[in-house]
Amino acid sequence: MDRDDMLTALRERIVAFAALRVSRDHAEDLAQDVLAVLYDKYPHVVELIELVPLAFQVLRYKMLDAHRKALRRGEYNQESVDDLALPASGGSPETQLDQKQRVERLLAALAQLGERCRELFRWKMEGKSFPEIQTLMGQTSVNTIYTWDLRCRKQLLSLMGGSWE
Amino acid sequence: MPEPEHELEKLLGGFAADTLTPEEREKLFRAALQDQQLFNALADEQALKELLTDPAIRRRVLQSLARQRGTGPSPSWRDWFARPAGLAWAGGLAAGVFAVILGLKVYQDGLHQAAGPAATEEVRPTTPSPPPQAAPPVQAPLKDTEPKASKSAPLPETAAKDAVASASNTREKAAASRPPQAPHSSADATEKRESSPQKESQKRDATVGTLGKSAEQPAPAAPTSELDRLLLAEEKTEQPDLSVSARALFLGQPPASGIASRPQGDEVESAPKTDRFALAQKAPQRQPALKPMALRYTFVAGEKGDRPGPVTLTVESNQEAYLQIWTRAGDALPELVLPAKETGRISLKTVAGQRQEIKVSQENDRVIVRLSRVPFGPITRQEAVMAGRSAPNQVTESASTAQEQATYVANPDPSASELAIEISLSTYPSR
Repeated sequence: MDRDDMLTALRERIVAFAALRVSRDHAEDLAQDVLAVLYDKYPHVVELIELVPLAFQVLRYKMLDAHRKALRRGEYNQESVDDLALPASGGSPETQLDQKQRVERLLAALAQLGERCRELFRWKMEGKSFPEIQTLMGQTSVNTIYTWDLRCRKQLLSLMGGSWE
Repeated sequence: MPEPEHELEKLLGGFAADTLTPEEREKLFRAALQDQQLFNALADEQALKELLTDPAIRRRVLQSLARQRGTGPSPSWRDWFARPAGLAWAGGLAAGVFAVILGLKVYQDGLHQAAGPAATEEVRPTTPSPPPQAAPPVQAPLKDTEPKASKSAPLPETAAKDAVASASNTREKAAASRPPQAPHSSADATEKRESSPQKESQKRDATVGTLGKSAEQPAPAAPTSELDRLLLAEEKTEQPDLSVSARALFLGQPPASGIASRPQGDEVESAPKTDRFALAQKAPQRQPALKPMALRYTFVAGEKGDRPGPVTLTVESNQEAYLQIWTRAGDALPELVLPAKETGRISLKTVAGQRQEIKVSQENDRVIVRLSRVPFGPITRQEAVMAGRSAPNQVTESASTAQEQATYVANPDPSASELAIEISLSTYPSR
Protein backbone atom coordinates (compact mmCIF):
# COMPACT_ATOMS: atom_id res chain seq x y z
CA MET A 1 0.00 0.00 0.00
CA ASP A 2 1.61 3.25 -1.14
CA ARG A 3 1.07 6.72 0.32
CA ASP A 4 -1.75 7.68 -2.04
CA ASP A 5 -3.65 4.53 -1.26
CA MET A 6 -3.22 5.21 2.40
CA LEU A 7 -4.45 8.79 2.08
CA THR A 8 -7.47 7.66 0.07
CA ALA A 9 -8.38 5.18 2.73
CA LEU A 10 -7.78 7.77 5.41
CA ARG A 11 -10.10 10.28 3.75
CA GLU A 12 -12.90 7.75 3.62
CA ARG A 13 -12.46 6.86 7.30
CA ILE A 14 -12.15 10.46 8.42
CA VAL A 15 -15.35 11.50 6.65
CA ALA A 16 -17.24 8.59 8.19
CA PHE A 17 -15.85 9.35 11.62
CA ALA A 18 -16.53 13.09 11.48
CA ALA A 19 -20.02 12.53 10.08
CA LEU A 20 -20.94 10.92 13.38
CA ARG A 21 -20.24 14.20 15.14
CA VAL A 22 -20.90 16.95 12.64
CA SER A 23 -22.89 17.31 9.47
CA ARG A 24 -21.88 15.40 6.35
CA ASP A 25 -20.74 18.56 4.54
CA HIS A 26 -18.75 19.68 7.51
CA ALA A 27 -17.27 16.20 7.75
CA GLU A 28 -16.17 16.42 4.13
CA ASP A 29 -14.54 19.76 4.85
CA LEU A 30 -12.78 18.36 7.88
CA ALA A 31 -11.39 15.43 5.91
CA GLN A 32 -10.27 17.80 3.18
CA ASP A 33 -8.48 20.00 5.70
CA VAL A 34 -6.70 17.04 7.26
CA LEU A 35 -5.53 15.69 3.95
CA ALA A 36 -4.35 19.13 2.90
CA VAL A 37 -2.13 19.35 5.93
CA LEU A 38 -0.78 15.85 5.32
CA TYR A 39 -0.09 16.63 1.68
CA ASP A 40 1.42 20.02 2.13
CA LYS A 41 3.20 19.89 5.45
CA TYR A 42 4.15 16.21 5.80
CA PRO A 43 4.99 14.94 2.32
CA HIS A 44 7.95 13.07 3.77
CA VAL A 45 5.74 10.88 6.01
CA VAL A 46 5.18 7.75 3.96
CA GLU A 47 5.17 4.92 6.47
CA LEU A 48 1.82 3.58 7.58
CA ILE A 49 2.78 3.46 11.24
CA GLU A 50 3.65 7.19 11.10
CA LEU A 51 1.03 8.48 8.72
CA VAL A 52 -2.04 7.08 10.42
CA PRO A 53 -1.24 8.47 13.91
CA LEU A 54 -0.35 11.78 12.32
CA ALA A 55 -3.72 11.80 10.58
CA PHE A 56 -5.43 11.17 13.91
CA GLN A 57 -3.55 14.03 15.50
CA VAL A 58 -4.36 16.51 12.73
CA LEU A 59 -7.96 15.36 12.70
CA ARG A 60 -8.23 16.00 16.43
CA TYR A 61 -6.89 19.53 16.12
CA LYS A 62 -9.15 20.24 13.22
CA MET A 63 -12.17 19.04 15.17
CA LEU A 64 -11.18 21.13 18.17
CA ASP A 65 -10.82 24.07 15.92
CA ALA A 66 -14.27 23.43 14.47
CA HIS A 67 -15.61 23.20 17.99
CA ARG A 68 -14.15 26.56 18.92
CA LYS A 69 -15.52 27.99 15.74
CA ALA A 70 -18.99 26.79 16.67
CA LEU A 71 -18.56 28.40 20.04
CA ARG A 72 -17.98 31.67 18.39
CA ARG A 73 -21.54 31.38 17.16
CA GLY A 74 -20.98 31.26 13.51
CA GLU A 75 -18.08 33.67 13.36
CA TYR A 76 -15.90 32.56 10.53
CA ASN A 77 -12.52 31.39 11.56
CA GLN A 78 -10.14 33.41 9.45
CA GLU A 79 -7.17 31.70 10.86
CA SER A 80 -5.59 29.30 8.45
CA VAL A 81 -5.18 25.69 9.46
CA ASP A 82 -1.63 25.92 8.36
CA ASP A 83 -0.91 28.48 11.02
CA LEU A 84 -1.92 26.11 13.81
CA ALA A 85 1.00 24.50 15.52
CA LEU A 86 0.48 20.75 15.67
CA PRO A 87 2.24 19.97 18.94
CA ALA A 88 0.36 22.43 21.10
CA SER A 89 3.10 22.71 23.66
CA GLY A 90 1.91 25.89 25.30
CA GLY A 91 -1.74 26.21 24.57
CA SER A 92 -4.16 28.91 25.40
CA PRO A 93 -5.44 29.37 28.95
CA GLU A 94 -8.64 27.74 27.80
CA THR A 95 -6.76 24.72 26.49
CA GLN A 96 -4.67 24.57 29.60
CA LEU A 97 -7.76 24.62 31.79
CA ASP A 98 -9.38 21.94 29.70
CA GLN A 99 -6.29 19.82 29.90
CA LYS A 100 -6.03 20.33 33.64
CA GLN A 101 -9.60 19.25 34.14
CA ARG A 102 -9.11 16.20 32.00
CA VAL A 103 -6.04 15.23 33.98
CA GLU A 104 -7.95 15.61 37.24
CA ARG A 105 -10.72 13.41 35.93
CA LEU A 106 -8.22 10.87 34.71
CA LEU A 107 -6.46 10.71 38.09
CA ALA A 108 -9.76 10.39 39.92
CA ALA A 109 -10.83 7.59 37.60
CA LEU A 110 -7.50 5.79 37.96
CA ALA A 111 -7.87 5.89 41.73
CA GLN A 112 -11.12 3.98 41.43
CA LEU A 113 -9.63 1.20 39.35
CA GLY A 114 -8.74 -2.15 40.84
CA GLU A 115 -5.23 -3.08 41.84
CA ARG A 116 -4.56 -5.08 38.69
CA CYS A 117 -5.76 -2.33 36.37
CA ARG A 118 -3.71 0.27 38.18
CA GLU A 119 -0.65 -1.92 37.99
CA LEU A 120 -1.22 -2.55 34.28
CA PHE A 121 -1.70 1.15 33.64
CA ARG A 122 1.44 1.93 35.59
CA TRP A 123 3.52 -0.43 33.46
CA LYS A 124 2.10 1.19 30.37
CA MET A 125 2.95 4.64 31.67
CA GLU A 126 6.48 3.42 32.21
CA GLY A 127 6.60 2.57 28.51
CA LYS A 128 6.47 -1.18 28.86
CA SER A 129 5.14 -3.10 25.87
CA PHE A 130 2.48 -5.77 26.25
CA PRO A 131 4.98 -8.65 26.01
CA GLU A 132 7.07 -6.95 28.69
CA ILE A 133 4.01 -6.44 30.88
CA GLN A 134 3.16 -10.09 30.35
CA THR A 135 6.50 -11.04 31.86
CA LEU A 136 6.23 -8.49 34.66
CA MET A 137 2.79 -9.71 35.64
CA GLY A 138 3.85 -13.33 35.40
CA GLN A 139 1.37 -14.37 32.74
CA THR A 140 1.97 -17.17 30.27
CA SER A 141 0.01 -15.61 27.42
CA VAL A 142 0.12 -12.05 26.12
CA ASN A 143 -3.53 -12.41 25.18
CA THR A 144 -4.33 -12.34 28.90
CA ILE A 145 -2.70 -8.95 29.12
CA TYR A 146 -4.56 -7.73 26.04
CA THR A 147 -7.85 -8.82 27.59
CA TRP A 148 -7.08 -7.27 30.95
CA ASP A 149 -6.04 -4.05 29.26
CA LEU A 150 -9.20 -3.93 27.17
CA ARG A 151 -11.40 -4.39 30.23
CA CYS A 152 -9.42 -1.90 32.30
CA ARG A 153 -9.56 0.67 29.54
CA LYS A 154 -13.31 0.26 29.20
CA GLN A 155 -13.68 0.60 32.95
CA LEU A 156 -11.50 3.70 32.94
CA LEU A 157 -13.47 5.21 30.08
CA SER A 158 -16.68 4.52 31.93
CA LEU A 159 -15.31 6.15 35.08
CA MET A 160 -14.37 9.21 33.05
CA GLY A 161 -17.90 9.58 31.81
CA GLY A 162 -17.65 7.68 28.51
CA SER A 163 -15.21 10.05 26.81
CA TRP A 164 -11.54 10.90 27.07
CA GLU A 165 -12.33 14.52 26.29
CA MET B 1 -4.98 -12.71 6.60
CA PRO B 2 -6.91 -10.03 8.48
CA GLU B 3 -6.90 -10.21 12.22
CA PRO B 4 -10.26 -10.65 13.92
CA GLU B 5 -11.70 -7.37 15.00
CA HIS B 6 -11.81 -8.22 18.67
CA GLU B 7 -8.14 -9.16 18.57
CA LEU B 8 -7.12 -5.77 17.20
CA GLU B 9 -9.34 -3.93 19.63
CA LYS B 10 -7.07 -5.22 22.37
CA LEU B 11 -4.22 -3.21 20.95
CA LEU B 12 -6.07 0.06 21.45
CA GLY B 13 -4.77 0.41 24.99
CA GLY B 14 -1.23 0.30 23.74
CA PHE B 15 -1.95 2.99 21.18
CA ALA B 16 -2.85 5.60 23.80
CA ALA B 17 0.07 4.73 26.01
CA ASP B 18 2.34 4.50 22.99
CA THR B 19 3.66 1.14 24.06
CA LEU B 20 2.90 -0.90 20.96
CA THR B 21 5.66 -2.75 19.24
CA PRO B 22 6.24 -1.86 15.54
CA GLU B 23 4.55 -5.08 14.51
CA GLU B 24 1.49 -4.40 16.63
CA ARG B 25 1.34 -0.85 15.37
CA GLU B 26 1.52 -1.93 11.72
CA LYS B 27 -1.18 -4.50 12.30
CA LEU B 28 -3.45 -2.08 14.12
CA PHE B 29 -3.17 0.82 11.69
CA ARG B 30 -3.52 -1.36 8.63
CA ALA B 31 -6.68 -2.80 10.12
CA ALA B 32 -7.93 0.67 11.07
CA LEU B 33 -7.82 1.74 7.43
CA GLN B 34 -10.04 -1.19 6.54
CA ASP B 35 -12.33 -1.10 9.56
CA GLN B 36 -14.35 2.00 10.33
CA GLN B 37 -15.19 0.92 13.86
CA LEU B 38 -11.56 0.41 14.72
CA PHE B 39 -10.69 3.70 13.10
CA ASN B 40 -13.33 5.48 15.20
CA ALA B 41 -12.01 3.85 18.34
CA LEU B 42 -8.48 4.95 17.51
CA ALA B 43 -9.62 8.45 16.78
CA ASP B 44 -11.34 8.57 20.14
CA GLU B 45 -8.21 7.29 21.82
CA GLN B 46 -6.30 10.18 20.38
CA ALA B 47 -7.51 12.45 23.18
CA LEU B 48 -6.06 10.18 25.81
CA LYS B 49 -2.92 9.66 23.77
CA GLU B 50 -2.43 13.37 23.56
CA LEU B 51 -2.86 13.68 27.29
CA LEU B 52 -0.41 10.93 28.08
CA THR B 53 2.13 12.15 25.59
CA ASP B 54 2.85 15.14 27.82
CA PRO B 55 5.77 14.07 30.00
CA ALA B 56 4.59 16.23 32.91
CA ILE B 57 1.14 14.66 32.91
CA ARG B 58 2.61 11.19 32.47
CA ARG B 59 4.86 11.76 35.49
CA ARG B 60 1.92 12.98 37.52
CA VAL B 61 -0.16 9.95 36.62
CA LEU B 62 2.72 7.67 37.54
CA GLN B 63 3.18 9.38 40.90
CA SER B 64 -0.52 9.08 41.57
CA LEU B 65 -0.47 5.37 40.76
CA ALA B 66 2.59 4.80 42.92
CA ARG B 67 1.04 6.71 45.83
CA GLN B 68 -2.15 4.69 45.60
CA ARG B 69 -0.11 1.54 45.57
CA GLY B 70 1.78 2.56 48.70
CA THR B 71 -1.09 4.02 50.68
CA GLY B 72 -3.95 1.87 49.63
CA PRO B 73 -3.97 -0.98 52.14
CA SER B 74 -7.67 -0.94 52.73
CA PRO B 75 -8.73 -1.76 49.17
CA SER B 76 -6.08 -4.50 49.02
CA TRP B 77 -7.39 -5.85 52.34
CA ARG B 78 -10.85 -5.88 50.88
CA ASP B 79 -9.52 -7.68 47.84
CA TRP B 80 -7.73 -10.15 50.09
CA PHE B 81 -10.87 -10.87 52.05
CA ALA B 82 -12.86 -11.23 48.86
CA ARG B 83 -10.73 -14.21 47.82
CA PRO B 84 -11.73 -17.68 49.01
CA ALA B 85 -8.23 -18.34 50.33
CA GLY B 86 -8.34 -15.10 52.30
CA LEU B 87 -11.69 -15.99 53.77
CA ALA B 88 -10.40 -19.43 54.71
CA TRP B 89 -7.40 -17.91 56.45
CA ALA B 90 -9.54 -15.41 58.31
CA GLY B 91 -11.97 -18.12 59.38
CA GLY B 92 -9.20 -20.39 60.56
CA LEU B 93 -7.55 -17.60 62.48
CA ALA B 94 -10.82 -16.64 64.14
CA ALA B 95 -11.48 -20.26 65.12
CA GLY B 96 -7.98 -20.54 66.57
CA VAL B 97 -8.37 -17.40 68.64
CA PHE B 98 -11.74 -18.60 69.88
CA ALA B 99 -10.27 -21.98 70.85
CA VAL B 100 -7.42 -20.33 72.77
CA ILE B 101 -9.82 -18.04 74.64
CA LEU B 102 -12.11 -20.94 75.46
CA GLY B 103 -9.18 -23.06 76.59
CA LEU B 104 -7.90 -20.31 78.88
CA LYS B 105 -11.36 -19.85 80.36
CA VAL B 106 -11.73 -23.57 81.04
CA TYR B 107 -8.27 -23.68 82.57
CA GLN B 108 -9.01 -20.71 84.81
CA ASP B 109 -12.32 -22.21 85.88
CA GLY B 110 -10.48 -25.41 86.74
CA LEU B 111 -8.02 -23.48 88.87
CA HIS B 112 -10.82 -21.65 90.65
CA GLN B 113 -12.58 -24.90 91.44
CA ALA B 114 -9.42 -26.56 92.66
CA ALA B 115 -8.39 -23.58 94.76
CA GLY B 116 -10.82 -24.39 97.57
CA PRO B 117 -9.19 -27.56 98.94
CA ALA B 118 -5.74 -26.09 98.45
CA ALA B 119 -6.60 -23.13 100.62
CA THR B 120 -8.02 -25.39 103.25
CA GLU B 121 -4.80 -27.30 103.34
CA GLU B 122 -2.95 -24.07 103.73
CA VAL B 123 -4.87 -23.03 106.82
CA ARG B 124 -4.99 -26.33 108.57
CA PRO B 125 -1.32 -26.71 109.55
CA THR B 126 -1.71 -23.78 111.92
CA THR B 127 -4.05 -25.63 114.24
CA PRO B 128 -2.76 -29.12 114.99
CA SER B 129 -0.02 -30.80 117.00
CA PRO B 130 1.87 -28.00 118.83
CA PRO B 131 1.74 -28.16 122.59
CA PRO B 132 -1.43 -26.78 124.10
CA GLN B 133 0.28 -23.62 125.33
CA ALA B 134 1.57 -22.89 121.84
CA ALA B 135 -1.83 -22.94 120.27
CA PRO B 136 -3.04 -19.42 121.12
CA PRO B 137 0.06 -17.64 119.75
CA VAL B 138 -0.47 -19.46 116.47
CA GLN B 139 -3.67 -17.53 115.99
CA ALA B 140 -1.98 -14.19 116.54
CA PRO B 141 0.31 -14.04 113.51
CA LEU B 142 -2.50 -15.29 111.36
CA LYS B 143 -4.63 -12.47 112.60
CA ASP B 144 -1.96 -9.99 111.67
CA THR B 145 -1.21 -11.27 108.28
CA GLU B 146 -4.46 -12.84 107.18
CA PRO B 147 -7.41 -11.17 108.75
CA LYS B 148 -9.90 -13.17 106.72
CA ALA B 149 -8.49 -16.46 107.94
CA SER B 150 -8.43 -15.32 111.54
CA LYS B 151 -12.04 -14.37 111.32
CA SER B 152 -12.91 -17.86 110.31
CA ALA B 153 -10.71 -19.46 112.94
CA PRO B 154 -13.29 -19.72 115.72
CA LEU B 155 -15.72 -21.39 113.36
CA PRO B 156 -15.96 -25.14 113.19
CA GLU B 157 -13.64 -26.68 110.65
CA THR B 158 -16.18 -27.15 107.90
CA ALA B 159 -17.45 -23.64 108.24
CA ALA B 160 -13.90 -22.41 108.16
CA LYS B 161 -13.34 -24.44 105.03
CA ASP B 162 -16.24 -22.68 103.34
CA ALA B 163 -15.16 -19.30 104.55
CA VAL B 164 -11.62 -19.78 103.45
CA ALA B 165 -12.63 -21.11 100.07
CA SER B 166 -13.92 -17.71 99.07
CA ALA B 167 -10.59 -16.16 99.82
CA SER B 168 -8.59 -19.00 98.37
CA ASN B 169 -7.66 -17.35 95.11
CA THR B 170 -6.10 -14.32 96.68
CA ARG B 171 -4.23 -16.35 99.23
CA GLU B 172 -3.00 -18.85 96.74
CA LYS B 173 -1.78 -16.15 94.42
CA ALA B 174 0.02 -14.56 97.31
CA ALA B 175 1.58 -17.88 98.21
CA ALA B 176 2.62 -18.52 94.64
CA SER B 177 4.20 -15.13 94.25
CA ARG B 178 5.86 -15.27 97.64
CA PRO B 179 9.60 -14.91 97.44
CA PRO B 180 11.75 -17.83 98.49
CA GLN B 181 12.13 -16.38 101.98
CA ALA B 182 8.39 -16.64 102.41
CA PRO B 183 8.65 -19.23 105.22
CA HIS B 184 9.77 -16.37 107.46
CA SER B 185 6.27 -15.03 107.49
CA SER B 186 2.75 -16.06 108.23
CA ALA B 187 1.71 -19.68 108.36
CA ASP B 188 4.99 -20.87 106.96
CA ALA B 189 6.83 -19.26 109.85
CA THR B 190 4.56 -21.04 112.25
CA GLU B 191 5.14 -24.26 110.45
CA LYS B 192 8.88 -23.75 110.63
CA ARG B 193 8.70 -23.14 114.34
CA GLU B 194 6.74 -26.32 114.67
CA SER B 195 9.35 -28.28 112.83
CA SER B 196 11.91 -27.68 115.52
CA PRO B 197 14.07 -30.63 116.63
CA GLN B 198 11.97 -31.06 119.73
CA LYS B 199 8.84 -31.34 117.67
CA GLU B 200 10.45 -33.66 115.17
CA SER B 201 11.43 -36.13 117.80
CA GLN B 202 8.04 -35.76 119.38
CA LYS B 203 6.48 -36.41 116.02
CA ARG B 204 8.51 -39.54 115.46
CA ASP B 205 7.84 -40.95 118.87
CA ALA B 206 4.27 -40.01 119.10
CA THR B 207 1.52 -42.40 118.33
CA VAL B 208 -1.18 -41.29 116.04
CA GLY B 209 -3.60 -40.91 118.88
CA THR B 210 -1.66 -37.99 120.31
CA LEU B 211 -2.07 -36.13 117.08
CA GLY B 212 -5.82 -36.06 117.33
CA LYS B 213 -6.47 -32.42 117.01
CA SER B 214 -10.00 -32.38 118.22
CA ALA B 215 -8.74 -32.56 121.78
CA GLU B 216 -6.27 -29.73 121.24
CA GLN B 217 -8.47 -27.40 119.35
CA PRO B 218 -10.08 -24.69 121.35
CA ALA B 219 -13.64 -25.61 122.04
CA PRO B 220 -15.87 -23.83 119.60
CA ALA B 221 -18.41 -21.49 121.01
CA ALA B 222 -21.71 -23.05 121.90
CA PRO B 223 -23.92 -23.24 118.86
CA THR B 224 -26.27 -20.38 118.95
CA SER B 225 -28.39 -21.28 116.00
CA GLU B 226 -29.68 -24.28 114.12
CA LEU B 227 -27.13 -23.60 111.38
CA ASP B 228 -24.29 -23.64 113.89
CA ARG B 229 -25.53 -26.93 115.32
CA LEU B 230 -25.71 -28.43 111.83
CA LEU B 231 -22.22 -27.23 110.99
CA LEU B 232 -20.90 -28.64 114.21
CA ALA B 233 -22.60 -31.96 113.59
CA GLU B 234 -21.18 -32.08 110.09
CA GLU B 235 -17.74 -31.33 111.40
CA LYS B 236 -18.02 -34.17 113.85
CA THR B 237 -18.96 -36.61 111.14
CA GLU B 238 -16.13 -35.40 108.94
CA GLN B 239 -13.51 -35.70 111.64
CA PRO B 240 -11.67 -38.91 110.82
CA ASP B 241 -10.95 -41.34 113.53
CA LEU B 242 -7.23 -40.96 113.88
CA SER B 243 -6.73 -43.58 116.48
CA VAL B 244 -4.95 -45.81 114.04
CA SER B 245 -1.33 -46.56 113.45
CA ALA B 246 0.36 -45.34 110.30
CA ARG B 247 2.40 -48.51 110.31
CA ALA B 248 -0.75 -50.58 110.52
CA LEU B 249 -2.25 -48.70 107.61
CA PHE B 250 0.89 -49.23 105.61
CA LEU B 251 0.93 -52.92 106.37
CA GLY B 252 -2.66 -53.26 105.26
CA GLN B 253 -4.56 -53.49 108.47
CA PRO B 254 -8.12 -52.24 108.06
CA PRO B 255 -8.69 -48.65 109.07
CA ALA B 256 -10.67 -47.72 112.09
CA SER B 257 -14.34 -48.50 111.98
CA GLY B 258 -15.32 -44.85 111.82
CA ILE B 259 -13.60 -44.49 108.50
CA ALA B 260 -14.43 -47.86 107.07
CA SER B 261 -18.10 -47.37 107.70
CA ARG B 262 -18.12 -44.01 106.05
CA PRO B 263 -20.89 -43.91 103.48
CA GLN B 264 -20.06 -43.85 99.78
CA GLY B 265 -21.40 -40.36 99.54
CA ASP B 266 -18.37 -39.15 101.38
CA GLU B 267 -16.27 -40.14 98.47
CA VAL B 268 -18.20 -37.68 96.39
CA GLU B 269 -17.81 -35.04 99.04
CA SER B 270 -14.12 -35.59 99.32
CA ALA B 271 -13.59 -35.66 95.59
CA PRO B 272 -12.30 -32.09 95.55
CA LYS B 273 -9.48 -33.27 97.79
CA THR B 274 -7.89 -34.78 94.71
CA ASP B 275 -4.68 -33.02 93.98
CA ARG B 276 -5.58 -30.05 91.91
CA PHE B 277 -2.46 -30.49 89.87
CA ALA B 278 -3.06 -34.13 89.17
CA LEU B 279 -4.24 -35.31 85.81
CA ALA B 280 -7.65 -36.54 86.84
CA GLN B 281 -8.47 -37.84 83.41
CA LYS B 282 -5.66 -40.35 83.69
CA ALA B 283 -6.88 -41.64 87.02
CA PRO B 284 -7.44 -45.37 87.07
CA GLN B 285 -10.96 -46.48 87.78
CA ARG B 286 -11.55 -46.22 91.47
CA GLN B 287 -12.24 -49.48 93.19
CA PRO B 288 -15.22 -49.73 95.51
CA ALA B 289 -13.03 -50.18 98.61
CA LEU B 290 -9.98 -47.97 98.49
CA LYS B 291 -6.90 -48.69 100.48
CA PRO B 292 -5.69 -45.75 102.54
CA MET B 293 -2.54 -44.29 101.13
CA ALA B 294 0.60 -44.89 103.12
CA LEU B 295 4.33 -44.85 102.65
CA ARG B 296 7.42 -45.78 104.53
CA TYR B 297 10.72 -44.03 104.33
CA THR B 298 14.13 -44.59 105.79
CA PHE B 299 17.33 -42.63 105.83
CA VAL B 300 20.86 -43.94 105.76
CA ALA B 301 23.55 -41.36 106.34
CA GLY B 302 26.61 -41.84 104.19
CA GLU B 303 30.17 -40.85 105.04
CA LYS B 304 32.79 -39.19 102.93
CA GLY B 305 36.01 -39.50 104.86
CA ASP B 306 35.55 -37.69 108.12
CA ARG B 307 32.65 -35.66 106.83
CA PRO B 308 29.13 -36.85 106.38
CA GLY B 309 28.26 -37.83 102.83
CA PRO B 310 25.00 -37.84 100.96
CA VAL B 311 21.97 -39.31 102.66
CA THR B 312 20.26 -42.25 101.04
CA LEU B 313 16.49 -41.99 101.19
CA THR B 314 14.39 -45.07 100.56
CA VAL B 315 10.67 -44.66 99.96
CA GLU B 316 8.14 -47.43 99.58
CA SER B 317 4.39 -47.19 99.07
CA ASN B 318 1.68 -49.60 100.15
CA GLN B 319 -0.07 -49.66 96.82
CA GLU B 320 0.26 -48.83 93.16
CA ALA B 321 0.71 -45.08 93.04
CA TYR B 322 2.69 -42.26 91.53
CA LEU B 323 5.66 -40.85 93.36
CA GLN B 324 7.45 -37.52 93.30
CA ILE B 325 10.43 -36.54 95.45
CA TRP B 326 11.66 -32.98 95.67
CA THR B 327 14.67 -31.68 97.55
CA ARG B 328 15.04 -28.22 98.93
CA ALA B 329 18.05 -26.29 100.17
CA GLY B 330 17.33 -23.44 102.55
CA ASP B 331 15.03 -20.88 101.06
CA ALA B 332 15.68 -22.01 97.52
CA LEU B 333 12.85 -23.42 95.47
CA PRO B 334 12.44 -27.19 95.44
CA GLU B 335 14.11 -29.37 92.82
CA LEU B 336 12.46 -32.49 91.46
CA VAL B 337 14.86 -35.39 91.91
CA LEU B 338 12.54 -38.34 91.36
CA PRO B 339 11.68 -39.05 88.61
CA ALA B 340 15.06 -37.87 87.35
CA LYS B 341 15.14 -35.02 84.87
CA GLU B 342 16.66 -37.28 82.25
CA THR B 343 13.51 -39.40 82.10
CA GLY B 344 11.47 -36.41 81.01
CA ARG B 345 8.64 -37.49 83.28
CA ILE B 346 7.15 -35.90 86.36
CA SER B 347 5.50 -38.95 87.93
CA LEU B 348 7.17 -42.22 88.80
CA LYS B 349 4.83 -45.14 88.90
CA THR B 350 5.53 -47.45 91.78
CA VAL B 351 3.85 -50.55 93.08
CA ALA B 352 3.33 -51.86 96.58
CA GLY B 353 6.57 -52.87 98.21
CA GLN B 354 8.78 -51.44 95.48
CA ARG B 355 11.52 -49.40 97.06
CA GLN B 356 12.67 -46.21 95.42
CA GLU B 357 16.06 -45.02 96.51
CA ILE B 358 17.67 -41.65 95.99
CA LYS B 359 20.75 -39.92 97.32
CA VAL B 360 20.24 -36.51 98.81
CA SER B 361 23.28 -34.26 98.82
CA GLN B 362 24.49 -32.30 101.81
CA GLU B 363 23.28 -28.97 100.49
CA ASN B 364 19.65 -30.01 100.81
CA ASP B 365 18.03 -29.75 104.19
CA ARG B 366 14.50 -30.81 103.28
CA VAL B 367 12.87 -33.47 101.19
CA ILE B 368 9.28 -33.37 99.93
CA VAL B 369 7.72 -36.72 99.16
CA ARG B 370 4.43 -36.84 97.28
CA LEU B 371 2.41 -39.94 96.58
CA SER B 372 -0.72 -39.88 94.48
CA ARG B 373 -3.21 -42.32 93.06
CA VAL B 374 -3.15 -40.42 89.76
CA PRO B 375 -0.22 -39.09 87.76
CA PHE B 376 0.94 -35.68 88.82
CA GLY B 377 0.29 -32.76 86.60
CA PRO B 378 2.93 -30.14 85.87
CA ILE B 379 3.47 -27.63 88.67
CA THR B 380 5.85 -24.77 89.15
CA ARG B 381 8.58 -24.92 91.73
CA GLN B 382 6.72 -22.31 93.76
CA GLU B 383 3.66 -24.53 93.77
CA ALA B 384 5.82 -27.46 94.87
CA VAL B 385 6.47 -25.58 98.13
CA MET B 386 2.77 -25.70 98.90
CA ALA B 387 2.30 -29.17 97.50
CA GLY B 388 4.63 -30.56 100.17
CA ARG B 389 2.29 -29.69 103.01
CA SER B 390 0.77 -32.58 104.82
CA ALA B 391 -2.94 -33.10 105.12
CA PRO B 392 -4.22 -32.40 108.65
CA ASN B 393 -5.49 -35.90 109.20
CA GLN B 394 -2.28 -37.44 107.99
CA VAL B 395 -0.54 -39.61 110.56
CA THR B 396 3.15 -40.27 111.05
CA GLU B 397 4.72 -43.02 113.05
CA SER B 398 8.34 -43.93 113.64
CA ALA B 399 9.26 -47.51 114.12
CA SER B 400 12.56 -48.03 115.85
CA THR B 401 12.87 -51.67 116.54
CA ALA B 402 15.68 -54.12 116.26
CA GLN B 403 14.40 -55.15 112.86
CA GLU B 404 13.77 -51.77 111.36
CA GLN B 405 14.19 -48.04 111.73
CA ALA B 406 11.65 -46.44 109.48
CA THR B 407 8.99 -43.78 109.48
CA TYR B 408 5.48 -44.49 108.31
CA VAL B 409 3.17 -41.84 106.96
CA ALA B 410 -0.45 -42.57 106.15
CA ASN B 411 -3.73 -40.89 105.53
CA PRO B 412 -6.47 -42.91 107.23
CA ASP B 413 -9.07 -41.42 104.93
CA PRO B 414 -9.35 -43.90 102.04
CA SER B 415 -10.80 -41.24 99.79
CA ALA B 416 -7.69 -39.13 100.01
CA SER B 417 -5.91 -39.36 96.72
CA GLU B 418 -2.61 -37.88 97.71
CA LEU B 419 -0.11 -38.11 100.49
CA ALA B 420 2.56 -35.50 100.98
CA ILE B 421 5.20 -35.00 103.58
CA GLU B 422 8.07 -32.61 104.03
CA ILE B 423 10.98 -34.14 105.88
CA SER B 424 13.56 -31.95 107.53
CA LEU B 425 16.97 -33.54 107.11
CA SER B 426 18.71 -31.10 109.40
CA THR B 427 16.85 -32.49 112.39
CA TYR B 428 17.25 -36.07 111.42
CA PRO B 429 19.37 -37.73 114.11
CA SER B 430 21.51 -39.77 111.81
CA ARG B 431 22.71 -36.71 109.96
